Amino acid sequence: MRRFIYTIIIGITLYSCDSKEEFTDSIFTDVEELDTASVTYDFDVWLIENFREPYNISFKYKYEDVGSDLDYNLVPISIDKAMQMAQLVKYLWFDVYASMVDEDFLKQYGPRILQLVGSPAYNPTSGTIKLGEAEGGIKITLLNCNNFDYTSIDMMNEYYFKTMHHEFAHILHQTKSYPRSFEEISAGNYLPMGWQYRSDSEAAKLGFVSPYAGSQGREDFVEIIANYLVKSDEDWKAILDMAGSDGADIILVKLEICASWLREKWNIDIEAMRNEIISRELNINDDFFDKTL
Amino acid sequence: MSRSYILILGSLLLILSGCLKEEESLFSESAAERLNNAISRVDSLLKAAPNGWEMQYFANSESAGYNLLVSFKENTETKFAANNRLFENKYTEAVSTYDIIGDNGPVLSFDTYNDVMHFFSDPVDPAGVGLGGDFEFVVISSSDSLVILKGKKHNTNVIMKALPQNVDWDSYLDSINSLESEILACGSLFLIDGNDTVAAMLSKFHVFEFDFDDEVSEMPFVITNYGMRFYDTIQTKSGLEVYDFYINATKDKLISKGNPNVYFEGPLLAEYFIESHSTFNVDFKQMSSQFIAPTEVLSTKLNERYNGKRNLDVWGFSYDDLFGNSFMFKTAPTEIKSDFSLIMRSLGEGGRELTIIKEDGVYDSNAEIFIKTIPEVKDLWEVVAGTYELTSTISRKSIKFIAKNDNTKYFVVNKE
Repeated sequence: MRRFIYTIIIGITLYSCDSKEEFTDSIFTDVEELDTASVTYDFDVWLIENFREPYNISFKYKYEDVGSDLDYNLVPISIDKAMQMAQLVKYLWFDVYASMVDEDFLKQYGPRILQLVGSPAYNPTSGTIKLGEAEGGIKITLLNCNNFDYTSIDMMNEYYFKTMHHEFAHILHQTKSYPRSFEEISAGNYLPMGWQYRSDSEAAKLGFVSPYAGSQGREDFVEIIANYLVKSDEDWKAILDMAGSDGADIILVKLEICASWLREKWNIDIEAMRNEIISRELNINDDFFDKTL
Repeated sequence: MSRSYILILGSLLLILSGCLKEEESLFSESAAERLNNAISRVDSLLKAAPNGWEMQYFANSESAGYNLLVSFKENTETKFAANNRLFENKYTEAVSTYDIIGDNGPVLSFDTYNDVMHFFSDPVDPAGVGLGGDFEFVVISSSDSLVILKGKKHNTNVIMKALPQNVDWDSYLDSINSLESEILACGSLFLIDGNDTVAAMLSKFHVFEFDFDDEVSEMPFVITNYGMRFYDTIQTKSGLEVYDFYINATKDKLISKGNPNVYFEGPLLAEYFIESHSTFNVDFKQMSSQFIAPTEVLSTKLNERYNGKRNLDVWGFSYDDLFGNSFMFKTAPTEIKSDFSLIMRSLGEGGRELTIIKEDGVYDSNAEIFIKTIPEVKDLWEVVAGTYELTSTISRKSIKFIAKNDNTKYFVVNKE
């Protein structure tokens, strides 16, 4: 009887505590819902069809304060540059990975968000410029996009596509670690705070493909991959020549580790990917772009 | 038994609290609904201005103010226009997109790059700051004629006023530039508040430096279609706070809105004429007969003397390092300038009375030749001597001389 009474009391208590408020329909609109009246509607549809649907990526070009680094003064990308960048990023990067591996690879391991920003992020304290950023395997931000010039392959590679390969390599090694032995090769030569004061030649002689590669191990790792993928045979040889025999040997050992890791962990043939990228770059000219977006 | 008692008592307390009526919401809508409604209202309002808005833009509280024209369309497209030194003094338009987003309130965001709007916020290596302006603005208040914004990052105050419907953008900016030219021609103004006068010098583009007795302070401003508006209030010596000025009908003063006894005017006329060391040419269409006659005689004589190959181009006043202020005339086609020395004195406290005295026998070598060959030139030199009342607009670009003893005798000079 006592148990029955307690049950009744508990039941009444729970009922009286129950909120009497009735929920209305949600007033938040779906963030992915496109504004069909927008002047950028056609382009936005193209982005969904060419990035979200095949690669599960949200391609963002309009400025979002919450999505940007508030420590820097940044400006948005122009619409014209965004349209060009989107088409090139798809052709020279996403479609390359899709053809070299498969579409599901990027759906699973690719970034979820790709954000374009118009200006670089200047750091006056260190005297450096940030060109890209990868955050936790989810998002890649490309900066300095308003200065993008498709007529210069070298400029595109140096400022944008190398950055994309660099940032994606971060995402990959954050998913599956690279061999710890890699960082032992140049242990003692990394300069996290002073890397920018090394010249290209000084860095190469120490076995780094770029001064930034000499900042820390993980940057060294991804810089090998990114530089090898986008540099022509001539430019890659120039780095090795600048490095001298000792520096070149170090770089090539590192490259072999990177190539093995890509092959074993990700089934990616770095040589085949490189050849595919170089081949596609030859198709880039004014006629390449769909101007109806 | 006691445990049961405690349990029952505790349950009763809970039941009673559950029976208490909940606190009624102060608003009929949720916070999110209110934000969405505010966003929608601001968006509609911006698009409803049929001819767009004039944005009086300051990058920060210390930098120059600029006029930007902006419109908002249904398809999220926005158009900006400007005509100022940042765009090579040419009318420039740029189109991009905008959005109204929700933050702590509606925020107007220009979310794709616009060559006009983002010029003020584009960072420049190595400082990474550029002009340090905003392109996202918190909407502080809004009506169909006035929107008050605050820069989201730098908290700078920016206002937008609805443009009249029948105004062409290019012409509108031209008219503002003309007014700017009028107001800022001298590079300095004086702020008058009763018997107090404070000098205001242009220290930088669209920034005045005020020389108060115990301190010097700078204040940026923007030129408006009616005058000049400062970024923040200026406190006069008597404690009045002023910031918005309109140019009067005679264009010789900028009068404070709300405090008509506080106004800007240009430098003292007579002193300015004497000390500016500028060249002032007489307007042949604005002089009385007392000057027309000797002018025509000189012109005729020059023509005769040089067989029709030389005539009078201009006469007026200039400054020469050797002679100081002088009466001068130039002949054409190849310019020959002759200087005849004058002594000029400012009279009275109002700074509008000037006496001109001919300095006999003091002139340059060209003048000496003309005096020998065309003695009529001395008549013109002589007729300009006298005491005059001066009037001008705030720019001092054009000054009217009216003889003090004969108000039918006058001439107008234009600064070269």
